[in-house]
Amino acid sequence: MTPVSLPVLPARAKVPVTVALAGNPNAGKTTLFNQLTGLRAKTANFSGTTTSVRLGSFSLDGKSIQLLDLPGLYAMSEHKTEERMARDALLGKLPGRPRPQAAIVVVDATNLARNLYLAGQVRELGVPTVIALNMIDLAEADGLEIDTESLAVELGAPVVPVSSRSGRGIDELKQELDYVLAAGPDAIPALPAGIAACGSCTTCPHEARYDWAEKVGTRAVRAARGTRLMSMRLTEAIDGWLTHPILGLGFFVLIMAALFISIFSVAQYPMAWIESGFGFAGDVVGRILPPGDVNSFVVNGLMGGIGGVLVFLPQICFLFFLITLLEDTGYLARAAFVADRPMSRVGLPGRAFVPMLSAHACAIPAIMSSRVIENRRDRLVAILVIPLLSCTARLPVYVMITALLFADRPVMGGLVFTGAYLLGMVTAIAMAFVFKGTILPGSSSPLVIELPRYRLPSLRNALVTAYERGRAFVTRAGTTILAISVVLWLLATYPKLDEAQLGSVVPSETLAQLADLRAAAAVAGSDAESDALEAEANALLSPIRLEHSVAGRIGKAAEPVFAPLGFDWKINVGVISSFAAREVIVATLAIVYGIGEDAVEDEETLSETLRAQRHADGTPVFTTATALALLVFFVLAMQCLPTNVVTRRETGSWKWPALQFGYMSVLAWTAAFVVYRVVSMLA
Amino acid sequence: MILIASDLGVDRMDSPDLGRSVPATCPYSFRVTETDVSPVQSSVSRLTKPGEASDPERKLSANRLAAGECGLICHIDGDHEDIERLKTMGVCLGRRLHVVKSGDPMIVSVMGTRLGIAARLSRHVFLRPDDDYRCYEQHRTP
Repeated sequence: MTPVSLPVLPARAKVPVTVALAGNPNAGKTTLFNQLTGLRAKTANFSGTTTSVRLGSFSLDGKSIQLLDLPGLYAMSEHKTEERMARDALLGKLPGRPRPQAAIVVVDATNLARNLYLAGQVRELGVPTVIALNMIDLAEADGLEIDTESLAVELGAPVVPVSSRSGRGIDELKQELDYVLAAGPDAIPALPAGIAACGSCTTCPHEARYDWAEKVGTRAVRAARGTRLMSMRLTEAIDGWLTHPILGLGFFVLIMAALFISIFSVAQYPMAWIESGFGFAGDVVGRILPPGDVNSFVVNGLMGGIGGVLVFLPQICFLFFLITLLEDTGYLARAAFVADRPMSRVGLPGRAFVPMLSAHACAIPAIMSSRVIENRRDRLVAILVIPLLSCTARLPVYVMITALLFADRPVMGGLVFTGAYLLGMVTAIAMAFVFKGTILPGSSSPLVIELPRYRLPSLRNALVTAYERGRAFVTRAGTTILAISVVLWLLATYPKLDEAQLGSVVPSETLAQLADLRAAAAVAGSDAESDALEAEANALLSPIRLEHSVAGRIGKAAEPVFAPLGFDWKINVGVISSFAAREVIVATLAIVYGIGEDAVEDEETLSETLRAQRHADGTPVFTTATALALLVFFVLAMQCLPTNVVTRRETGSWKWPALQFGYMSVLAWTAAFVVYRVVSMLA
Repeated sequence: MILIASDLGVDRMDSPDLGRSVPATCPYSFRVTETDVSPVQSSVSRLTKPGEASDPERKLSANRLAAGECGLICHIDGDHEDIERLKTMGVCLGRRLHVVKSGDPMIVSVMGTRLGIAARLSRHVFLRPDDDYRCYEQHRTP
């Protein structure tokens, strides 16, 4: 018997099956995506753009399906970047992305005719398509009977009634998708004549396509039993209040205030837990690790950096949770509607109000939420001015300065505090005007927005969105922010001052004081007493160490820059260290003026210490002019590198964060200089 | 309260809620009150005088219509990005547009969808009366 050598087949490469998900905004596409993929989604940008898509996966008959969630679209025209991108994605023309093997088009069953426009366009592209007739439960509740069979014939694609919110029909949708994938592209039904005629129309493509969509939609909907009138009446009645020119603005202010106060007040608890958790962990690790550089790096650099990243998470997650709830109910569209007129007066669209309001909690989630602004130019203007609005990180600085200046005059303190907030708002509006007139010319994009029916929001949707946005922040921006924190720690720590160098840089009185404290600590009766004495010795040494570090040297080198504002080198060190986060200046000033980091909480001690500081010639460091200049500088300066990192992420270029940093620094310096000079003259 | 049949997304309204049947030639855009179909303040009053035949040449921009008025989109000025956006959302030639709320921005209903549109855009959208239009028919015969 002759042995037969069988051909060896090459190992089959595991090619993931890609399915695109397309649909109109408000058609329930995101809910269906979340229903299919759960928490296994990640957000990515189309190659070389800031147009984001979500990628998720689910299992289908043993196959792993990668689901590509395209942006919400009304059509696939050449005019809009997102629409062009979606079209290219479906045609497999985007670099690095294979052509999807199939597409699921989500169609709102309660508004069939309008949604069919996009479905027809997707069918024309020749991708095997399944139509998910979403919100079928709402359509049925409205008394609409949809003939899915005739619809399938008109579209040349299977139609599956689903309810992405309740999960109804999801298994059938998967089954139909499985059939379509198994059949492959050769089995796509011929393009129905109606759709083909739309594509060949050379006059107004919209008119022909909408004629077709209207006819098909009208034929497929069998009857209305009147129950829909009830829900429409409800929407109509609520809209009568919420879009009223005066009452609508009142509701808008109330709802936005509630949103802002919720972020401001509720998020502070998890933020405090994160801070105290990391503080406690730092103490524990600090005790376990032997004293030295590694200890300092792990506790102050690494753990401080990670804590500095995670502390933003509660605000980010909470903001996106609430925004998603508002969007789901249909109110966000009404908010944009009523805010459009006042906002357009300052050159921004109504949609810019939500990010600009939430910027008063933190600029980072605000910049992330600026994606609600459709027009890129408007979005860029909003991103550029958002950091001018006073965030919570500035509060400790404002508190420190008002306590320093007006400890006994709370009314004056309150006025200065309010003035700081107003200065940020007025400057943001003024800069929006400037950008609109110069580098980003043009008036704001005129409002055209769909006002969907009011619905109960999906809690699951809001939770998934909050989770995804939080995760995207930690994985993308978080790593860069951590790196910046570590670099700033290195600058403030090295070069180190060893014991041998102490004699040459520390005054003899301080050396004697230090020796006394150490001797007392060595013979202390209890550990607590010993620790307290050691801490006192460290507080004595900390400003000397900081002065010797790179940060201290930069602070001294920057004296010619900041001297016109009345700042000495110690304030400069505070300014430099606060690039990690604005509030760090308070702790830095506490260290650099020798009262120890732990004294930060004690407002009175800090104020007294700052008030007692004198220049070499005996004049006070913190005069009214210097303190107000410092306040104005912190209102307007871009003292937050994490915000810059997020700007880079949202704009897709370092050009915009560089501009943001540059213009805000120049603005802050100039305004602080003017304030210093004017107040000095008046004084 | 104004309800618009286009919100209902159906071609026939023979429900008891409406009290009477609506011609199949007029699938969209008529006004319904809580009790019944009310007399309509259609755009006809300014497009065509009562008793006159409609003049298809006469047209009004959408921003000049009051709440409850309506018409057929016959012309859209300009072709810039925002106008294209409007067209892809259904505000294009041949569609019936019903004004739900006037002002700037205004709320209109087109193809069963309510849209908020700034006057900067709605003034580019021109409407003419539609002879198949039920509310128009009612208004024309006082």
